[in-house]
Amino acid sequence: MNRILRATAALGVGALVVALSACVPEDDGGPVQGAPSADAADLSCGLGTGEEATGEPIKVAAVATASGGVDFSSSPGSAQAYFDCVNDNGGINGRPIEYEVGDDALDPTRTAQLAAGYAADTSVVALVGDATFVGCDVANVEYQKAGLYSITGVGVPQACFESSNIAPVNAGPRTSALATMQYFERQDQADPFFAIGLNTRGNGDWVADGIEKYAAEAGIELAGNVLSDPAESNFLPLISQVTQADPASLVIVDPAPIAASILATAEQQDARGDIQWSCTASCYDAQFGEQIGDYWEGFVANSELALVAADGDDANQWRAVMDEYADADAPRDTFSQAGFLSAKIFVDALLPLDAETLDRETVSQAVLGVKGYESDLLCAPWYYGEADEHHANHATRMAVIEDGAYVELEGCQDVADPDMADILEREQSEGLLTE
Amino acid sequence: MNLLPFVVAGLVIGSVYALSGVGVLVLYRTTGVLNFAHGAVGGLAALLVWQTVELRLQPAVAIALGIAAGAAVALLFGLVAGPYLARVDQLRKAIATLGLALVLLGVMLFVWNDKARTIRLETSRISFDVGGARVNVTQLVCLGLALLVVVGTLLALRYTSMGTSMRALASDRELAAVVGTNVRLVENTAWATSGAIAGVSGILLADQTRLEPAFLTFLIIPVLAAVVIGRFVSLWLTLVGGLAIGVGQSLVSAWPTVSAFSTAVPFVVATVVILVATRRRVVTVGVVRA
Repeated sequence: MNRILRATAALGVGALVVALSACVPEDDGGPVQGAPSADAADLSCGLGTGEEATGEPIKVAAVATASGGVDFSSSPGSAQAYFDCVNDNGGINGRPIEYEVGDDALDPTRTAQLAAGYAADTSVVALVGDATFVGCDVANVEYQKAGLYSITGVGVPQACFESSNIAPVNAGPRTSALATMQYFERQDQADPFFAIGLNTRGNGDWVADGIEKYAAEAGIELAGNVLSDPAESNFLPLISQVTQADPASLVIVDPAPIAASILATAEQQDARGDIQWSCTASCYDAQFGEQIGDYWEGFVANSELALVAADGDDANQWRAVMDEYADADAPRDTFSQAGFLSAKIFVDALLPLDAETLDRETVSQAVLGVKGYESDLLCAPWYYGEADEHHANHATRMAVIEDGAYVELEGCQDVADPDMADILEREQSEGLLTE
Repeated sequence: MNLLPFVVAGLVIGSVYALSGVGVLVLYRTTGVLNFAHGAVGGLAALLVWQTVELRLQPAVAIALGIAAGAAVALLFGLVAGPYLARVDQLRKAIATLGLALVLLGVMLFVWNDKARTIRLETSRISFDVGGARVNVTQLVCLGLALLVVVGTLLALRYTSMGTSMRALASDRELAAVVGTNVRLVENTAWATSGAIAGVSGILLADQTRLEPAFLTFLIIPVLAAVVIGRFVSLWLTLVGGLAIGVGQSLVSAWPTVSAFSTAVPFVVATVVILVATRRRVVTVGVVRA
């Protein structure tokens, strides 16, 4: 026993020594490289008084998937950072925001419990910065009963965009995939087109449906529209299908880790060829370019909000608030921008109200009344409005990997989706795009 | 359609299943513990390799560190839980390792977020064409290593004193203790060896498939299927089983009509083997250890 312990200790010390001596120095940069530096005005959030809010707190909540294999916590994380900044600057006319985040751990039963809990707690006036991967449908049922509304940061499945009491700030995988397809269409590189997705109900099938409908409408030949098993270990069949179909361009609509594995398999088979490879916004993160390696220089991805290094009032404020109020290692990604923006929309909707009258009813009215909300993080005005579906963000940007990092490839472009006719019609008839 | 690339890919993944299976089998025969945490230990080793490479550690050192970490985690569990597990029945032993698997999975998901990660072994950059299939050196290493570990384990079990002790424990634990075998030492060696094999497999699988905690943890399923084909006794049959499952999965996935069922191949194979084996009354898990 002692001999083993001693041997283990010796091994541990030895390993540590080797580890330390084998390290090579690393160049360390700030959280977002190549971004304009922040100035003091960026930190005057909300009223910008510079004085801490001391009144009775206003309770706001969020339901997000933070554990269980999917981590969307950067959305409520940045909302928290923005609320902290607002609370340091006079709050909502003197009242600070008290923010509570529930983790549903990728379990819809848990989402329903959390949603029911917040719905029952009448001191919770709204949900902001939510990012659940699994529970928009079950949560919406609870919110509807309780007259509670969510300005969601990140929605992924179909249900998040087809709910009465949930309105995401992001564009979602279907819009992101169509945006990528239409980018290639503008470059005359979309015919024939190939799409790769995940075989998940209410998500992968919804995206595949959009691609099929748009291809039919635009007269694009679809060389493949393949959905793979989320537990797939071998992407060789997929790559072989791609090389046989030989499309002009291709989009991967998978979470970043799976997209990276598909690209690794393609690289191993040297299958890049003349095909334009791309991915939806799920691959738009700072780490991706470096992880997939030099072989994929020129790889294209969609971005549902402004690029992380973009220059603009809200983009700069987002970075400044993150630097001041969030952990240094908190992700600076699209989800983080989305959480920040949802919090900002919420605060801007509440500031004109009388702070004393704020309760669930008055806040819900204010949230529902948000329209024509402009931000340089978005491409087009955002709105809420009373409807059974909410999909305000349907204009996005494109990015390309250069020297292992994403740079802007194309600015804002509206995305066409054959199923969005009702939404576009309502934008005009209800005047949702103007304040 | 040229099926050769699929056969190659299947053989490669299958050989790593077999490699992992050898680790599971040696531990099972020596300690009676069917280790459900084998995949999770491999996943942890692979993520540590990724992390240390990100911290600019030289890849070779990082890999050695990852394998050592795999061995250390398994050994630690063996040291802490081994004495208690020795006194409970096999089902409880297995369930205890399921607990370890979930703890390790939780730790991995807590430490590493869900962003894309890849391990690119230097050997994966060197590749060549074989009859229309691209093969890289890592894949050859996988195949060679599986064979080497099977032969090495067989030789070690036969010709080293530790191997003899392991066989003694496998055949009768009480009797082995009575004749003076240092049971704890033998068991701890089995834990550490099995952990190191898990580490090697995890790193190879991360290079060849996906570097994700949950994915690597649940690769224990095809590995267990390979061990079932080896009927919990035979190293050679475990090797054959691993390769068969790998190739089976890969070939099933080659045809779009059935490709959705490729992840079910290990279950189907294991079920068939268990049914056939039971019919012949050759083996049950209880009989092997009795």
